[in-house]
Amino acid sequence: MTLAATLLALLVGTAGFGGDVMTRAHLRTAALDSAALSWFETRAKLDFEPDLGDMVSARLGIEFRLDPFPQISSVGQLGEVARFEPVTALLGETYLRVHNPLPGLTLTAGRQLVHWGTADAINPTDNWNPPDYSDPLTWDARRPSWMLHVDYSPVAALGLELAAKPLFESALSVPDRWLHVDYLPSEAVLREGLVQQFLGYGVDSATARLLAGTYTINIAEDYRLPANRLKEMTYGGRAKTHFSVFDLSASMVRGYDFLPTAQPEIVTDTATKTMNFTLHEHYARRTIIGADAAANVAGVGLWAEAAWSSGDEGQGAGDGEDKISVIGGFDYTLAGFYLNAQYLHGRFPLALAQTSAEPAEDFVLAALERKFFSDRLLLRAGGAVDLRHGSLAFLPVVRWFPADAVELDLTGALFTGKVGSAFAALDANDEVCLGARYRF
Amino acid sequence: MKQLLALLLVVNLAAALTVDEVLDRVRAVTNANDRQATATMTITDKGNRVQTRTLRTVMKGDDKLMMTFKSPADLRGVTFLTTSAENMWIYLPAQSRVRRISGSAVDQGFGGSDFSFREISNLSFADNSATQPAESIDLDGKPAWLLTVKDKDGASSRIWVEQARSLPLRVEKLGADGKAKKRIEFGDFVNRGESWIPVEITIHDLSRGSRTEMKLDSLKLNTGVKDNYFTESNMKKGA
Repeated sequence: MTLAATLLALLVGTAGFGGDVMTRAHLRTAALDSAALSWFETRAKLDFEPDLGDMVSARLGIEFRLDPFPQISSVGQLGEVARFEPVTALLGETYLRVHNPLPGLTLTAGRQLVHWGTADAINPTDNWNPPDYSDPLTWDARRPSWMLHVDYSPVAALGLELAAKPLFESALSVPDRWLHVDYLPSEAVLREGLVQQFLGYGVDSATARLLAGTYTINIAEDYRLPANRLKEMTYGGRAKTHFSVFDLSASMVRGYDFLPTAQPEIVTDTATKTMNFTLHEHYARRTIIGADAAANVAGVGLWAEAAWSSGDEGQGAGDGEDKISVIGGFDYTLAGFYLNAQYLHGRFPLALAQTSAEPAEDFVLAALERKFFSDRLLLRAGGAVDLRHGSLAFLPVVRWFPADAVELDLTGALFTGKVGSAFAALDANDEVCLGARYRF
Repeated sequence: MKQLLALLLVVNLAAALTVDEVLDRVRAVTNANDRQATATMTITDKGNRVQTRTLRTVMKGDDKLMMTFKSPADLRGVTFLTTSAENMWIYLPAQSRVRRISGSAVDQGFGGSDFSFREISNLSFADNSATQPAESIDLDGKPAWLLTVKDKDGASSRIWVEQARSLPLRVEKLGADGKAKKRIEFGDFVNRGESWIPVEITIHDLSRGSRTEMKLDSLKLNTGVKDNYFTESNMKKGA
């Protein structure tokens, strides 16, 4: 601890130092008498940037996440301080960057964020950094990845990017406390499946239940991460240009889905009277070809972004399917009101818990905001509509800036939709959230 | 007698100049191939609340400009790039992304100041023009030209120019009703070679009752900044 404190003091003393601290509590408001905190975290990000001159820059980023919910399940754990206020330390952006070894060339090695795409918040062409869904309200957050990145602009109107990521990292999921999802079926559900199977054979109900009761049911999960072999790394490139009022880019990435594909396997052995259920989970390898454009036309900001992805054959059912994600939108400011609207054909992060056989793939995302009192108060009404099923996520925000670098938030999260729709799984997750952030 | 003749000559020359000719003179004496500086912005709102920003700026010609916020903490690393009146981008370090600033957003406040993105990127009057004769007036006891100009979007401004050195002293941005909405004052000119650079620029938002003072420091001119300095890649490094 002393060593860590000394190291921290040295870093603060010798480097550019900045960061932010945020805290936010979510009160789930399903009913007043059962309202409860569903998410409450304090996050502190520290970034150290030593002054290494004009040609080289570097960053060391550390993030601490404090979960104030005690993780104690027995009296015997009351002496374990770490269970009272569990703190997780994460490595943020940590890289070395060389500027202009050749004119217009930038090389970055280390843990970094690379962003591709011109659309707002959802970028089908952006497949480098794993999504971080651990904060339910910032579903566009990403975790930095270990990468090599080359950015070369031989002339102002042309940019080329190449990147390689040797390690695969999965998306960070929504905490179970905020949204519980049963990935594996229970023994009771599988036994009921056996009953249905015997009924199908023409056995009467009582006998079917008796027979099913004699079976031993084994439930297993076969979870596989991509191998970290060189030939299986993620790599890709992008060319970008701009002419007149247009920004254009085209890209290719050979990588993986950030969330696993699940494929159940059930083997029933009548001789040994066993049922083995195995959920095979793997990350599909894909080639993603993308393009995007942004422009200014008559005072309106316009953008469009599309990605066609093709999964490798032979990985599992459905992996070989081609997928197309498209997003297009505009923003405009009139009389101080800022309007931002987008149409998305593809998956929307807050809708990932949808269990319908027909997943929602068509959304309208929109937000209207206005600042008041010399930009000290921001009111924002935003949300997403699942066009296929008519369900809605509404996320209003009131943000007050009482001083430089200080934000106080009052946020709402309201979900509605019938069973099977995009946001139906979140229907009971209506919340009011209070948050604060200080940057330094 | 000689002084009177000289004065009459100046007055006659002044009367003979058109607005565009005066603007050409202004550009000629305030121009530099490139310039780099540290800027301190002090924003004072209607309620006298004061906010301060520090920035690094690199400019080439009339149209290429990169500005990076060094403070406060919530803006640190945010970088603004413009290569023409229609092409402006902003780099947001927290998201590691570059965004094009859309047409309507160019009139929004730059970093919470009273300068809009459009104003901060066009302090050299690059796209102002008019062909009528310049009006000769007296401003605070000094002979000055008063120019009424329009930019390419049709927005009108009045510009006061000191006749002796052809330096811009004041600009008023006019609304559709012809009334001044913003007033920009240039002061404390420093002479570097053939260039006169204002190191104090104050903008008043007359409708909001707020003002922003920008002071330049560590000014360097003509250091040989290349065109491909003004790229998305360099925005991540910052000005």
